[in-house]
Amino acid sequence: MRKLLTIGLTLALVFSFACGGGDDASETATTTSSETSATAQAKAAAQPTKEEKTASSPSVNRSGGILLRSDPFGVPHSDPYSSKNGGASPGWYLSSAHNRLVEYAKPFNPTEGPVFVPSLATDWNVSDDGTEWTFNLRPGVQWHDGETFDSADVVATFERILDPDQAISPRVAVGLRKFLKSVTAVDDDTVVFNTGDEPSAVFLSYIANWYVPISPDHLIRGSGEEKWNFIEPLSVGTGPFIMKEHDPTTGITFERNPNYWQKDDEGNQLPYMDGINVTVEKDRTRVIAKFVTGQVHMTNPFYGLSVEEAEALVDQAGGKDKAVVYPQAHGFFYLMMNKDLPPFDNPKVREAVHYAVNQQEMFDKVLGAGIAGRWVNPEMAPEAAISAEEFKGFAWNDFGNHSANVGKAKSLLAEAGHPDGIDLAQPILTSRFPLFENMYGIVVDQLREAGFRGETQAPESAVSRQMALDGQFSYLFGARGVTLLDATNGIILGATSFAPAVGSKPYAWEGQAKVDALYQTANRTLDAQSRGMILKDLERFLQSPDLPVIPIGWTIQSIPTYRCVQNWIPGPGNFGQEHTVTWLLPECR
Amino acid sequence: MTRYLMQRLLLMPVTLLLLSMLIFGMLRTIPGDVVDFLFDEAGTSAEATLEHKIRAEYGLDRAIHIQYWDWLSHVVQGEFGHSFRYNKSATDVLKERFPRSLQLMVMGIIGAVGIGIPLGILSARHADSWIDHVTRVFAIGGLSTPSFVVAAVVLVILIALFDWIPPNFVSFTSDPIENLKITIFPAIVLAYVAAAPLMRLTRSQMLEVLSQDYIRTARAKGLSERVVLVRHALKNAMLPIITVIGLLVERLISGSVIVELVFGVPGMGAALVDAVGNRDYPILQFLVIVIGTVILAANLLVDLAYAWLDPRVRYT
Repeated sequence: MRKLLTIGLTLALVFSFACGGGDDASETATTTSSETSATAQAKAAAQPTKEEKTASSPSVNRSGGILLRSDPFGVPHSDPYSSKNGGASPGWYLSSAHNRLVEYAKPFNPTEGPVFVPSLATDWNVSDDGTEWTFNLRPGVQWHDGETFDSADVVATFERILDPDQAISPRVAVGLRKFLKSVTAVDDDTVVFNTGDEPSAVFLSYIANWYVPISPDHLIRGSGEEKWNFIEPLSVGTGPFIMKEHDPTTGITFERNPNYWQKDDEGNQLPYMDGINVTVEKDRTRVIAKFVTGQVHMTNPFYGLSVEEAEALVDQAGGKDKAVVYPQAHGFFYLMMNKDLPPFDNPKVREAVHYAVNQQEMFDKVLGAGIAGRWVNPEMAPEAAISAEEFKGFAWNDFGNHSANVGKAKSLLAEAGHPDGIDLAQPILTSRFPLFENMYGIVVDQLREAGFRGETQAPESAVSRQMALDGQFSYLFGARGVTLLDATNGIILGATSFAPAVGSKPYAWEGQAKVDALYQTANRTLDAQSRGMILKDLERFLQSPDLPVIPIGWTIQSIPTYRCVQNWIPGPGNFGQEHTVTWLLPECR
Repeated sequence: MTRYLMQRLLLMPVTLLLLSMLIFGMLRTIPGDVVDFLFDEAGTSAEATLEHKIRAEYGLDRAIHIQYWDWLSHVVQGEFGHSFRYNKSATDVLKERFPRSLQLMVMGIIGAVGIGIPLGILSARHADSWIDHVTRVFAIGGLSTPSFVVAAVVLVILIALFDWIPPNFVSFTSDPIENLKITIFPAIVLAYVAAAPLMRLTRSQMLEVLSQDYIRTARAKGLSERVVLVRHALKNAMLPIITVIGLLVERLISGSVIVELVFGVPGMGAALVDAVGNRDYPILQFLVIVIGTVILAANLLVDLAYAWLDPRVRYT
């Protein structure tokens, strides 16, 4: 009987996933807790179990075991900078084999935001005018192939990035070309970066980013006509794990780097684990099955589990004593209107959309947590975000007053000449990703409630991009991974004319010039507090009701993880992909 | 016969040429290419110049007929292109993936024939009995249930009963036992889905043949029922069944696309899905040509099998 029940429950779970976790967003709404906040979730996840308390003592052997992971996309090329590497996954997994000059302090502390700590650089300083950054490099570091790391490697890494003739991965690194002018070696242990005539406040964020690791000069510098090589078939870094096997379509095997330069506070050699196996699993059902049977130790945000689905999966895996749902800050979502076409060429209609959308409802009903409606993530950049009270003061951000806001949206539409609502000529573009479909379904319903009626389409990402570039949409729902841990991350993704949201087409509106100017000024201001004040002004300005882009907010996704995985730090960005200090309890080894 | 065979063999390259034009044109008609895929996910930065550079590197900035001619001229020299996404040539992908899919297909066909034909005979032999009803339900289930649903159900049953699912793929040459543990379940799914039409056809053919005068005569002669069924009835019912076995190749190829994904078998089906998602034109074009060749070869073999099975069939 128990087995029959298990079969029934599992079938229901699998088919609910197969169908995108429920195709009716409003139905989901009635069954999901709306009270779970990111903080509460994090606290619950962080409660140590009996085993964890034991394992925390220094006498526990933390060494050994192989972490089992899976990913739907995999890593196309073993060189982090190969132009074949798009998307988030390459940075996620290749970061196990590499280091950057500086890295983010772990764990991430939301009250102080990202903090930079030494990695391949032991210390650094910036010139008075803020344009010259000098880094002293860590001595005695070895590449995985036994060569010694020195300043030539840093210079080669950044010269390849800055070479305008070189096609490199479009994610993050290429952004350095906008402000970094040169890098030179002073001696074997010292390098100097120059940002030209203007300082750059995002410089450290860029070079601490997982997508900008240091590469070995002896492997990447070419000869003759080929100025640069890409590392293949296996990645060579200085990181905690050595890549042993790599097939872009099946997965990666990493083994512990016995010569890794870092030790823990007690003097133990890092990393603790023997290795990491990442398998490429495109099918969501199979990943769910692998998690339930213990063949993967954690899922990842790409499988798009709602909080409800994640909790069901933990139950299937043996309950809360065996597994836990970790909240991981992952993405920034936004809603873009096509202001070149009616009706969104009318500022009143755009204002109506601001009132119609209730971002908080979407987070509550699907994710259980998230930061709704904010351009600047207050947890990522507390010094640059306006206060919660000030944010709520903008009428359309008062999410608790939704019915009044819908009324206001309808009256604005009537004022714009659409008393009976609008039938949108172009489709509403959403993502195929099941979780996104659920989330955006709620927003589509909200817009329909206010009178915006249209056909929803969820094409593949390449098709969606082409449709966006061609202007074949009324609304476009965008979702981006948190990559650049900087106050401007959301702003650059959705609000500036540098935004890649609709390809490289600037999505200007009447206030665009001011946004761009404030953004540039902020990025020239090195003092964090002064920069924060400018960004607060920018966030205030972005509350402009005729803005054709609305931030849905910052997602916090549920990641079912076995409790035997110890000291895993989900964090924002790629924090959760680094496993230098993670260890496994014996039952997972 | 030889002339017919030559004609068919000569028609194959023409068919494949038309297929290549079709797939080449279709792929480029669909909005978005690999560069869109890369840049849609780009995140914080996008540069128009970089986008153009990568597109030029892949030759996607040229007119479609120039791209096609370039591709075709390489194909006739045995070069089928290089993946846009991975550091592999199309032939590398085929060498790696084809044996895995072939193994699944062979296992699937053996399973389908082993299940479908005996059940069809059984069903016809006991027409309108409970045996017939059960086997028909079995067959209708296979016909009406998509292979990805059957695959998901098998996966769930394995979890519920054994708390186990097939682990990561291991090739037959490196560990045959482990390989069979992994491939047996997707093969069962493919066999079930493919066995259903075979069972239905065998049943209807057998029912028709069993009502013929010569069967009555055979029975009147006192031949055993086994001899009547196998030597007299089945042999005469086999001709359309052979056709369906040939067509099963197509059904198995299409079925394997999802089944390979669900069971984690990195075969041609999984490569196709991957290539479609990534807009990896060289891989897609090559795999479609290979699949087209396999289907053409299977159809030719079916036609030749007609003549071998039925002396009345003569090709000129």
